[in-house]
Amino acid sequence: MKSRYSILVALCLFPLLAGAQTATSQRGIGPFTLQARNGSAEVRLIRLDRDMLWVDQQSRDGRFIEVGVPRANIVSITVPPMQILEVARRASTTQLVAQVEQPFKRLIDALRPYRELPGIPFYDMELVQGRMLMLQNRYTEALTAFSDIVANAGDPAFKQEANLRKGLILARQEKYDEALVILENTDFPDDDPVFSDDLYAARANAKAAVGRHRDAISDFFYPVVFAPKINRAEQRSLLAALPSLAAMEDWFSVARTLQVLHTEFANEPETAKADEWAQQYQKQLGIEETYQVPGT
Amino acid sequence: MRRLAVIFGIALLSSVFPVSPVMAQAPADDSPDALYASGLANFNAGRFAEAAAAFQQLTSVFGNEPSMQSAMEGVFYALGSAYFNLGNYGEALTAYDEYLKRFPKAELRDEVLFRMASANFIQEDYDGALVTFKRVMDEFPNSAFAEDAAFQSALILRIQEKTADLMAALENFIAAYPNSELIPQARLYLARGYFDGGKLMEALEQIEQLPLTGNSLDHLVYANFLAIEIGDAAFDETNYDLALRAYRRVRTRAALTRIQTRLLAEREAALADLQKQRMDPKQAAARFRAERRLQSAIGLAKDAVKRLEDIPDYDGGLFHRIGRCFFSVDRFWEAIVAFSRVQKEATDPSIKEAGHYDLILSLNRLRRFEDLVEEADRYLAVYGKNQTYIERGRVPSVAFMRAESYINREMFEESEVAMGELLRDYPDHPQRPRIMFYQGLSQAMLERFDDAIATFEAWMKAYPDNSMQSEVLYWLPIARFFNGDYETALPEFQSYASNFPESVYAPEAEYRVALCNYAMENFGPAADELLVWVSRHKDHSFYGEALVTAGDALAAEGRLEEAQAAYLRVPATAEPFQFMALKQAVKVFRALDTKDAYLAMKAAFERYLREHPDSPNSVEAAYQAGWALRQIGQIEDARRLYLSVIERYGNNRAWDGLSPMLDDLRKLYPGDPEALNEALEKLVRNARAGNQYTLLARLSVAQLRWSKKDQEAISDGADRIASSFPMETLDAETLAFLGSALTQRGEVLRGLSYFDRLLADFPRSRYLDVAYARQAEAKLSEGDFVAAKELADKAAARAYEPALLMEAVFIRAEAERNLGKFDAATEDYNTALSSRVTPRPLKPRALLGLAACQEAQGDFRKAIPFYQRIYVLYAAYTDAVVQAYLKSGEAFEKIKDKESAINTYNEMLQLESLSGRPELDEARVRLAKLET
Repeated sequence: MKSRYSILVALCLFPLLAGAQTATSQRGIGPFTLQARNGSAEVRLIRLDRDMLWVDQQSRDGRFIEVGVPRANIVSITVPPMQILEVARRASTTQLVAQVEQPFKRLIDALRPYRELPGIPFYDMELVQGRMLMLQNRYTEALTAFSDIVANAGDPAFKQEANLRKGLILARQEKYDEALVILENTDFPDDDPVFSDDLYAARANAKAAVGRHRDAISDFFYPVVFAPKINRAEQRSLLAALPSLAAMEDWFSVARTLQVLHTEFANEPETAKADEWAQQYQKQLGIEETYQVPGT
Repeated sequence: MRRLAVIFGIALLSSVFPVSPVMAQAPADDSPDALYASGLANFNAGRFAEAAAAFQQLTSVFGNEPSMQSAMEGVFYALGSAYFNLGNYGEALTAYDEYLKRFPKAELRDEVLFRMASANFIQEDYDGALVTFKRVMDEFPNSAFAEDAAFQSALILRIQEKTADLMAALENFIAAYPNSELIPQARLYLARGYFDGGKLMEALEQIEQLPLTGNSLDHLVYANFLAIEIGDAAFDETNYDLALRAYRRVRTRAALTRIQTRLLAEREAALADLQKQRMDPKQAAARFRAERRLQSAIGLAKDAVKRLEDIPDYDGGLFHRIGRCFFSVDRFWEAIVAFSRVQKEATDPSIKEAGHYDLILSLNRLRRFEDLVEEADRYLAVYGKNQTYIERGRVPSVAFMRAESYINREMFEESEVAMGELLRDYPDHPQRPRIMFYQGLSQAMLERFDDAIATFEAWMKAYPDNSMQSEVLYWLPIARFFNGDYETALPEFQSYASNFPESVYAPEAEYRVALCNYAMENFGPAADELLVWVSRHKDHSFYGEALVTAGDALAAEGRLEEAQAAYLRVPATAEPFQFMALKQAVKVFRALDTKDAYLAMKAAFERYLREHPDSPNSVEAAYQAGWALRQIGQIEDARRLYLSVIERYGNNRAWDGLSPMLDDLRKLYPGDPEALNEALEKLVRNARAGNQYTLLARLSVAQLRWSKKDQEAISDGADRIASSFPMETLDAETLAFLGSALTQRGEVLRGLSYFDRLLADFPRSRYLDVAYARQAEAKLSEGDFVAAKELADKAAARAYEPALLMEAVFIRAEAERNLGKFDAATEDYNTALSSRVTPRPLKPRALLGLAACQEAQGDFRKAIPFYQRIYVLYAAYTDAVVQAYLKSGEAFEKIKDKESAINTYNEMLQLESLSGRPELDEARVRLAKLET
């Protein structure tokens, strides 16, 4: 009788389309707040069976009752803030990633069947997972994750970041033409300067690699001008731009860039590398008074 | 804040008087308990006036009761706090003052002092506030209020504009409380102080120590604005590096707004949280401070967002400033990036225009002229008609840079047009003299020397005192020189060299004086001037050329030894003039025809070989050296030289000149063909062993050419060679030989494929003429006369051998005749006929062509003599002769000279050389017709 009553309670909240049964212990994933057309309840997600979501709903007497909710009746599912997601989001080193990686993966896998339900933060989590994989240089797995987001996520912000990260990986894999298909003619997000710096560097390198040095120069110098301190962008990008300047035979700019490295970043490794690189262009740089090849 | 303060006070009081929770209105009686309960309840309900009244009555009536003194400590505190919360600072100060007097050891003296100072501050009693804040710091250095007191003191000094005291106060604060949340604000005020004192670097260093991320970003917007001010001041002082450092600390409006909005939301949420929390009496002071700080931060954030919204085109202005700094320190690519962003994001039209203009300036400085023209076109499309920018000179300036870009790119057709447009559109252009000069220069470069001379002469009249005069005075005689007016140019060059001896053009002007004399065949003066010139300008780029010209002038004067010396002085560094000089010297050596001359010739070319071991001229140099050896009888040396050069360079597909050497080698074995064969066989063996197909093919062709076989046998031999070697292994000469042989053999398409390969692989070969001539011939056969003419033109323009030139001229004449261009065709036919080097079989064909031109224009009478010249002068060429007779007879018929026609046909039929030719039947038919 008690069990029947619980079912009736559930019926009040959700249009029950299938039989219900009692559950003796916590199972599935939750608790989440499920908002249906006719009410809301704290539930644990058990399984998704075609158009029916099966959940365990806790009754007034504390017991769990399995009920089915047609997908069409689900307004939203509110997932409370997940500490593991925030830890994963902030994991900025391979060590931190290693600590959170497995439990986070288990959580993603658990949520995967419910990914299309409104409010399930699956793609947000998959994006975080992709970032962690990138950090570990596991590019193939990361590409799979990002491609999934690009193909299936509803939120355009997730899609955009995933797509840009795909471009970034392709550039790092030296698949420059494919990378440029994604990174070309795209504005990079200025609310994440580190990511943006990575993107400018990747696009510049890709353009330089396919011989588009004039275009590459603009991307090499963008972080120098607007975000010189992010990831040591100025010295790094000045060094990276040198071969493109040389390819364009712009020896004035080569000399000036070397001079800036010497003036502003005298003891940085980029300056030493730039000097080493410049040895091959002694003749061309000889006519530029602003820079003297060391040792000559 | 008020609520917190009250709660704290009430909490203390509750430990003295038992409180009834239901009491919240006016006291029912005037007992101390009732008054206290009333004050507490009203305080809790936020009715501070009623609370103050109750507490005031309590202190007035019972304030001096000895039994209540311990409780009065809290009452005076609460009374002061109630007045404070009401904003009734005078009464608050009185209550707090009483509190301090009565309770010298009270627990909350530090807070009360802080509140008193705050009340003074709010009432703008800055001196009083400073004194009281100082008491907090002096009497309670370890109190949590000491930090805020120190900071508030600095704020007062700032208001009082006591800069020195302010700076000291802030520096002390930063030193004393390095972990304070207020450090960013302190640094910001310190930076402002430094800035106001003109210490830009120190100001910027303070800003650079501000955190870029984290929670303590209340200062961010103000730091941004101050950074812009620092940047502007540094820019005005031309300290561009410092300005850049400052500007690059500044964030975009979008970034700042995003941060400020987040900050505002966070601060408001934090305040709401704080106000919701139950107060722990022990944390009351900390909460009071936190609340004040949060409210201050919220005020700052709101104000910052508003300031951001109010500034017009903040980002565009910032990017433009950054671009100007980079431009000013010669970092032009960075400037271009910044100005491009101005273009993209600026909303203020004047900033957008300024960014675009400066972008074009940057491209100009980087000499990116192609990009400049593109950007200038965009600029002019937008602003070209804008009267404001025209009057400011910006539109004319951009139009000028665009036009000048064409000069720099040596696109003189475009530059001439653009300069003309500038002169037309901007009659008052400040660069008008330069524009006119560029116009003349463009005309000169386009070899429109008459126009150039006219422009330069007009320039001289218009701007006799302009600083560009020296340029025009140089280019005017240059235009005359290349126009062939040496006589006028010469004194102008002399005058230039004399008037502008320090000019970069002065040496060239002197050189041109000598060249004018040379051109006017004043060889003696030319030679002497050139010898003087080379002695003074050893490093000039014309040095080699001048020595060659000096040698030529001396040779023309018959001063052969001096000529030889001049040629041999051309240094290796002056290539290609060194080899040119040696080739000229060969004429002198041959003219001298002495053993010494040949020894010198041999030595000169051997030296060349040593100095240029990888030069494409090596083969020819070796040939000349070998030839000289042969002249002086050093046959063995010559053989060795040739054989070693053939072996060393013969497989180099890119180099020409092996054929003359092989032919000369053959001459080194007179009467000894076996020795020659042995030498060649050795070459062949070695070439085979080394898979040197190019050399093998070259040797095969040479042997085929030397064989005294008939044309058919040579044709078969060429076919065999062509079948034996892949086309990609063959050098240009072999490709030309085989292509010609195969086309003559009737394998036209196969032969043409060799020429296609030659043109593709050796676009600068000396055998291009053969390829073009054969291709022209093929097109002629196909009836594509336009293509035939074009190809014949190319062949004629590149002809290396005179015979081939005449062949090309003949083919062109044929094409022109078929295109109806009879005058041009007649001229080319006559050229071919008048040249002794024209292959003889072409001459009767040229006569046929001339006659055909006349007939095509309806003049049969004039055609007849050409036909007659054929059977008189070229009887051996029966194909032409038979046609000449038939055509001649036909022409007589056309002009109704029946008798001459009959005579012509009869003469044709009687010629033995024509017996058996099918054309005779035609003659017989015509004759019969005429006789009936």
